[in-house]
Amino acid sequence: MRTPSTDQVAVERPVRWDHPLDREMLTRDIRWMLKTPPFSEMNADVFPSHGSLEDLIRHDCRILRYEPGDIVVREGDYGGSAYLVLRGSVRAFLESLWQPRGKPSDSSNPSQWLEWIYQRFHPNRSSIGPKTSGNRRGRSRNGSQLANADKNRSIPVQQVDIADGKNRIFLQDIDAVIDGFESEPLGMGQIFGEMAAITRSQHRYTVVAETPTVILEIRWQGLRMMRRDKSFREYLDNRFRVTSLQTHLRETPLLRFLDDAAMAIVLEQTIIESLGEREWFSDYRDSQKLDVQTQIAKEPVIAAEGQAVKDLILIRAGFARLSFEQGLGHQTIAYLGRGHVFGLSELAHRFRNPSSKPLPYQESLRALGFVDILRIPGKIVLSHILPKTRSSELPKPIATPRYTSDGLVVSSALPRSSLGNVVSAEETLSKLETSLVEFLVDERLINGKQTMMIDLDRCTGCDECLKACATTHQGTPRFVRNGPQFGPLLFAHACMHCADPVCMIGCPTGAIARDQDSGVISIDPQTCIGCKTCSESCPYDNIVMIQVRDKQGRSAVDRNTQLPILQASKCDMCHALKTGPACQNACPHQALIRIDTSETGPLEQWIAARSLT
Amino acid sequence: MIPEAQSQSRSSLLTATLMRFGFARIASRSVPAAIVLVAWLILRSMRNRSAASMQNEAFVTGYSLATVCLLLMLLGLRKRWVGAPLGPLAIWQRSHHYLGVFCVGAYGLHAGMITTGWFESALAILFWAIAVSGIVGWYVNRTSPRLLRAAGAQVLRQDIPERTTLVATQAYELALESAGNNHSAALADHYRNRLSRYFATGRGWLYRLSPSGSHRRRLLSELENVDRYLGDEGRTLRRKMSQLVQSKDDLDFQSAIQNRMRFWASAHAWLLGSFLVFAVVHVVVAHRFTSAW
Repeated sequence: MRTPSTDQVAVERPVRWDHPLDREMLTRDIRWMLKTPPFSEMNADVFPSHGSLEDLIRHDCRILRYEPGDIVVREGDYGGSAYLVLRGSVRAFLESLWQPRGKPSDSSNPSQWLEWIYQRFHPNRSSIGPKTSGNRRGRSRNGSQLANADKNRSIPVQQVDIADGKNRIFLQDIDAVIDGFESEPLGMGQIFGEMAAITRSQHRYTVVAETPTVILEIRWQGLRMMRRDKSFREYLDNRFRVTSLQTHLRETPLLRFLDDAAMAIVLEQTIIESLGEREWFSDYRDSQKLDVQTQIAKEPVIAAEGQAVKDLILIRAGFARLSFEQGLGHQTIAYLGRGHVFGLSELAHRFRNPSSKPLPYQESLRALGFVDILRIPGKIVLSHILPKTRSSELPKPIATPRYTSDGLVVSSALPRSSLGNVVSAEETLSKLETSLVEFLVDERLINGKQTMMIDLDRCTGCDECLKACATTHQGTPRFVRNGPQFGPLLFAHACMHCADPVCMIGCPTGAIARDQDSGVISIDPQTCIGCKTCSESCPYDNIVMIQVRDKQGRSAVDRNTQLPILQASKCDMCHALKTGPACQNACPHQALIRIDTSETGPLEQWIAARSLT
Repeated sequence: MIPEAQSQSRSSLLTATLMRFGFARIASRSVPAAIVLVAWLILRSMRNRSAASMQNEAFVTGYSLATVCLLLMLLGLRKRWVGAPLGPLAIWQRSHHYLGVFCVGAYGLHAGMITTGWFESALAILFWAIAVSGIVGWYVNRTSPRLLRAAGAQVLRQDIPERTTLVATQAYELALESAGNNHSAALADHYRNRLSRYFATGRGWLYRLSPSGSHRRRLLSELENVDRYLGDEGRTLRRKMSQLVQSKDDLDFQSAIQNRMRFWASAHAWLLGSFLVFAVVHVVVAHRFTSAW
């Protein structure tokens, strides 16, 4: 056996479950849970010996206790665990209790900004704690206080208390909140939060304890392993589909004027459909080597241009390419994400002109990676939805269609987006240069929530950004000032904190996780075992493996094999700094920004602003 | 044109100009410039008042100048305070530029354009060298990014030597490939006589100071002239060689521009360090040999 040199230190190689979720989990609790549904109904034989069901409960679960009114999960927070009710009951609120946190939605409204600034400087003036900012209070999702006042119901107020040394956030007067807002009771044996955990996304609803409740938290690594059991997997999948369908339809602005009867019909008729692979990154690297048109041809078609409009398509999760045929290829004109609709222009045209021939789809829609869509049948849209939609919210009429029922119109009009006004994105999308949209889609930069973008018309290569990053992270920068380039825009190899963080899929220890509040994805060095799963999954090469070093700078090696101990390293948005990402603050030329490229709006605003300065 | 129409036309032109360049853009430049001007006028008034009251006006302007110099130095410190809640570095950089302009004005009030004595002259030379290096550095920083972008995708400075070696190796292999064939042997000869040195060595100091494309154009033109001695296969290889000449020139250009930016930034910082030593001595001497404030 080799002995470590003087600049090395021998350590025990970290392994999975070195850091269980709950160190205080008792064996008798585990035995009791194994006798309780759904665990008692699981087939223990499907689990391997090195990861038995008992092991999963011991290491990937923890028992949480709540008093009536305590908030278990909060809408808008990112999910990383599923919750199983062991005792008592909880309420899942089907409608939004507060406006999402963050800056005012309408940035041009000075009064909203004043209120936001006031709340930032006077957090104690509201009765909520430090992690629950005040602008949630008394506001509905669309920012209107009148909406609540009209319904004459109490506005949920969050309170903070300390119990057993931990902050406890609860809703004041829970009974009044339950009376005022539509909610669903969940009792013993029922699971919630699994949707956000599986899709690595935000919780769509708030769950509050109704009675003294005992809940088992199952972190998603464990939940994924438990899906080996067929009946449990089917239960989760079914629940996932039903819950997500309901939640999404209720949140769709187009459907907000529907009464309960019409909504029930829509719910019954809507089909939920998934296209592409959840683990799309494995094929993506290979397909990137192909030419663009072959790549597009391989993408699953959701709707093809020229075909009769059967459904209105709502994007529930993931991204889709909006394109039309151009010569021998396809020209991409936009990418659609969560909340966007497709086919509304054509259906609105038919609604406005019932006597004329219906128009087919004017563009094609293709799945990029993995996409969840909802299909609402066209006849239901025409009979139940469009009659109750304000005419001002309908898309503009199609004056010069590209396709009619007779086929392609020769010398048809220029690209036209079929996005309706309901998503208020038509103008925004059309303003971005087509080639830039194509570039963002081809490079899958549409996944980035905090993409590092460098304006090469300003960057002098002074490396202040890298120096600042290295200073913040013990001498090792967390990004490379290089990457895909479009004109003067360089998209550097820095973690984009993706809308769909595929790096999280395979992590066996839960070391890589998304912060519930900020959405930042970071790696916990204590629990990372250096298995490389995340770095190999990242389609953008934004995670690198580095050698672990101790405080004296000695590199760590395995005590037994003398091989280096590695750890995944990536941008963490400098979450330890109050000033935000050091790279952006350190750029003396305002060349580097972190920008949300999952929507076209921020990029378009930035380009417009940059052209003026 | 009638006066009313003229006036309307002027106002619409003004509005169009403002719209084109943007109110924010104009304000972001004119407001700090106005502040610098007002500060300079105040300093001049203080100096005149001090002179009128029979005081030594050099102390008023001198200490103002020293304060401004210390403020200018803060930019360097700010770069080292990563994570401190001191605002974006870009704001500090911009403030540094405006303070620099004010500093030149304050120096004019303090020392005038002509100085006497070797020590004072050395101090003056250092001051003007810092000012010039700052202005040149600012100009280089403003213009270089676009120059770099014109030379293809930006290459990291640390990657340039590796890329250059790669291009030189490719050119050598291309020459070897062409050597054994009558259709392309002339290309190998041309490589040996005219291109091997170009690929193997860096560029001269003149190019580094002011990079230009004249040498590349000459080499490419010479390469095209070799076509008459080549067959079809040789011409294909020649075109590849031309691309490599272009790649090498792009890399040299990137290297020259990036090094030029770093040179001016370093020169500015080093000169400032020397200036501070001289300035401290100057303050001590001034206090030692001046009778009154």
